[in-house]
Amino acid sequence: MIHGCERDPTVPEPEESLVVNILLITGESRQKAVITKVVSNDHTEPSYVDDISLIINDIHFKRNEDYVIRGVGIDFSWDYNYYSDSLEVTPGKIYRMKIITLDGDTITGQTKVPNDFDISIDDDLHVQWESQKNVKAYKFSVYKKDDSGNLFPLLDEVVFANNYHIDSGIFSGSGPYWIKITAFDENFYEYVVKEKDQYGITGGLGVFGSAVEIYKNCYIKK
Amino acid sequence: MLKVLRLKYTISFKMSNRKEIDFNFVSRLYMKFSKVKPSMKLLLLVFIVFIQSLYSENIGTVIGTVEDAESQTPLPNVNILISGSDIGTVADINGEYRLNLPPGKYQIVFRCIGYQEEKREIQLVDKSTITLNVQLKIKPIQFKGIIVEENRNKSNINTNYKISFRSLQNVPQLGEPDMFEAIKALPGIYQTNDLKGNIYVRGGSSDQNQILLDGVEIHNPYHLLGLFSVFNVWAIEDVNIYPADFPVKRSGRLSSVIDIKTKIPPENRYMKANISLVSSSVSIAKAWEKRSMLLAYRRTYLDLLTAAMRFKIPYTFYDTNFKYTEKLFNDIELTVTGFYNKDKIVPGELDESEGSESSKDAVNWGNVLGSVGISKRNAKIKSELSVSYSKNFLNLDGSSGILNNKLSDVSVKGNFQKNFIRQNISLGFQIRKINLSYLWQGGDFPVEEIFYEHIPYNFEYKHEDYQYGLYAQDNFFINQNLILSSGLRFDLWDKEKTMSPRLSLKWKINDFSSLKFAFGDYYQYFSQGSEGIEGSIIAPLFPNEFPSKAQTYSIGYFHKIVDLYKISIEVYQRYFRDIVKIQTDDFPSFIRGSGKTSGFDLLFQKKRGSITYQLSYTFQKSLETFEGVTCPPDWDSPHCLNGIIGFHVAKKWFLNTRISYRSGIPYTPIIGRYVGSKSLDSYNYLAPRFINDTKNSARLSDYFRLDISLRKKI
Repeated sequence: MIHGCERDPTVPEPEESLVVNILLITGESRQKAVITKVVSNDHTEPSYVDDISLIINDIHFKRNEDYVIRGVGIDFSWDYNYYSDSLEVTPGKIYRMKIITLDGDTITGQTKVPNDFDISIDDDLHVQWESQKNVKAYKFSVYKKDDSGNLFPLLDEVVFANNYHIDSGIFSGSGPYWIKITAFDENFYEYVVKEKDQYGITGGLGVFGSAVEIYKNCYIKK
Repeated sequence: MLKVLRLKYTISFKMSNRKEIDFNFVSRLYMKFSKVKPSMKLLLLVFIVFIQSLYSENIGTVIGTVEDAESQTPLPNVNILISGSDIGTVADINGEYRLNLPPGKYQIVFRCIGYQEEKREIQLVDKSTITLNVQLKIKPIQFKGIIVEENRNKSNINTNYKISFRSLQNVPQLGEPDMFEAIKALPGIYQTNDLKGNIYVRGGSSDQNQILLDGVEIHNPYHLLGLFSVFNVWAIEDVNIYPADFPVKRSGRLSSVIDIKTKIPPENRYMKANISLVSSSVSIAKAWEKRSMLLAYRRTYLDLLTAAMRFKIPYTFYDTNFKYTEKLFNDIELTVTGFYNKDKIVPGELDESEGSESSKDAVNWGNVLGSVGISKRNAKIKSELSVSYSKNFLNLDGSSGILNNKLSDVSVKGNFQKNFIRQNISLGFQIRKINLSYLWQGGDFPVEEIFYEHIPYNFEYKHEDYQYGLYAQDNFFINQNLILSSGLRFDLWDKEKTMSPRLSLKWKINDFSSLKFAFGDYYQYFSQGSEGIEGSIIAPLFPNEFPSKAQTYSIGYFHKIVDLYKISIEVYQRYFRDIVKIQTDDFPSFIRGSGKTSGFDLLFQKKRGSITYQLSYTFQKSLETFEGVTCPPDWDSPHCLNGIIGFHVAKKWFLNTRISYRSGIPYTPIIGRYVGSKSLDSYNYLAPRFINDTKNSARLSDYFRLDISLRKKI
């Protein structure tokens, strides 16, 4: 058998475009925004960007020069950094975002933070909470404190309904345990789950989304 | 007057030896010219009847049908002669004949151009009727290097292809003679990956082909890497491939039917042993007067050989064929068929040193098949009834998880065919039960890396379905050169009813040319919706929410040049509706779409001489539409060219060469990359995300392959 077969495609260069990755989370004192740019698939140069103005609501985000985050467990060679500032995110509020580049290009976005909600849990470990119109996905977590007082996770699962049944086997002892439910807004759901290249922003790629984290602690009867 | 009459009757009596004579006609003829008185007329009539009854008492009859031994289709215009006399007849359009003979012992000779002569001895007694059905074998042609044959129907107006056992051996192959290598040399049929057995026929996906062994479907017909099939060529009689105009008794797939027949044991004992680069095999077959049997076994020897060399290849495969036939009574024949194949990988056997962390994971997959059937044949009627069972399995029992896939298929089928003077009518039914059982369990079990993304780690799926089918087909011989075939099939599947009409018109223009038009609706009820992976592990089958449908039109022209060259061209168009793709974010549901393929196939063959060759070319254009996006399918290849050339280089030495060329398959280019969140449960973790160009807007480079084989017959 003698073969001739090679892969030598000619691929066009990508259009220059900024990429925004912002998820505003309630309960976090400092919010992070990662701004990078689109590169070609075999690009090896860093993809971070400098010298932009990022404004969320009325707060001007600054680039955190003390932190340079490297990719963990990913085989790519670029570095990216993130922008950070204190911003208290309020459930139910609408936030707007604006990026202005040196060239004068503008990227805007808007997100509505999901509302607060109550969590109920019954003796059979069925957990329920209120559903909301613009929320299609949740992250359901259960934590326990270790001897040092740090929370460590017993359970982390993504759910697409407003209820969950906890398997009692994850519990050892009566607790206390912390149930955390993170409700993601529609922007983040469409971007991550539906793999859209952009949602919640115009003028660039990426996402401007938000999430609300609700905690409830409980004890387990044996 | 009486003298005159007696003289006339004497002449008539002699003539009756050659062909049938209507005595009533003769008597009327002479009566007309007679002026015999009424009383004399009565006497004459009594005399005629007396003579007729005497003659009748001494006449025996031989009737029967002459068929092509390979295709088992009627052979018209066969000369049937009584040896040593000038008495004879000619078989009619249905291959049927009738001879009236006085009692005695005769040798009947059957002759037809292109076929071997057959002789039969009979003993005819008074007023007896002997049924003598004969099958004529094709006269062997000097296939010195061999090529794939087209279906040897005398009218050359079938659009299915037929590959005989002899041809299968002589197609160049890698490591092991294989049926699919010969099939891929045909126009309109190709593979996109040498390490994946999936074949594509006229633009359809690989799960749209039905592969049958003696009429029973096999769902995973490949051994490891898809390099070769599970079919041992030494146990195969022939293969019929239908890229269009499927027989109406076949149902359930859209693109093609590949019908493989187990070898018919010859009268002389047949024993073949073969060793190739990959495996060794042995086949034994023998036919007696009323029964026959075939047993074939093939096994790879690489694991045993490398074990002796202290480096064991942890892969084994074997396959077994069994066939038994027995003629019972009244032309009833019993047929029992069995087939079993298994592939096995035990990676843990690679490293058995102490302290090693070898995994004992074992993967095995294969097929089990069995069928029992009875059939009855005579000149007028053919009827068949069979029960069959087919199972495909895939198991992984590993330290990190379990995988257990099983598909079983039980079927009861019946077919009844009656031959009339100008038509034959078939009626049939099928009752089928399919069971699917898929179990995947494991935490770190990398199933998603094997099949496709987003498969849940723990998955259990069971499904049972029944299919009921009824069909009718009518082949009407408008005249000797024009055949109209119409068929209708009705199926009920999981409360979905489908009706599939089939129509074809075959016109034999002259002894060298013919034309055919065919139309058909086909339905498919189960799909994979995704390609399998290298290693011949197929993707699981799931039931469609709605039956997929294909409507096919084709026109073909066939021409022979001085009975040495054959050329055929066939133009076709297919419309697909409700075809499916697996939906990766909601397993196992499908998205539905539509498609269209049009193209033409060219085939040119030189059949005899010191050099024989076959060239095939296909041009096709395929498009599919899913979720509003229209693009070529992932397997689309607009141009395919195949050539097989055979040389008889020396006594018992054969050199065969095969050239394959096809257009590169499409792909979706990645035009950009960026980082972003990819999962909700680790939303802070940023990973590469890719920007794709228009789906399947680019093509890989064209594919080219050259195979050369040198074979010596020992």
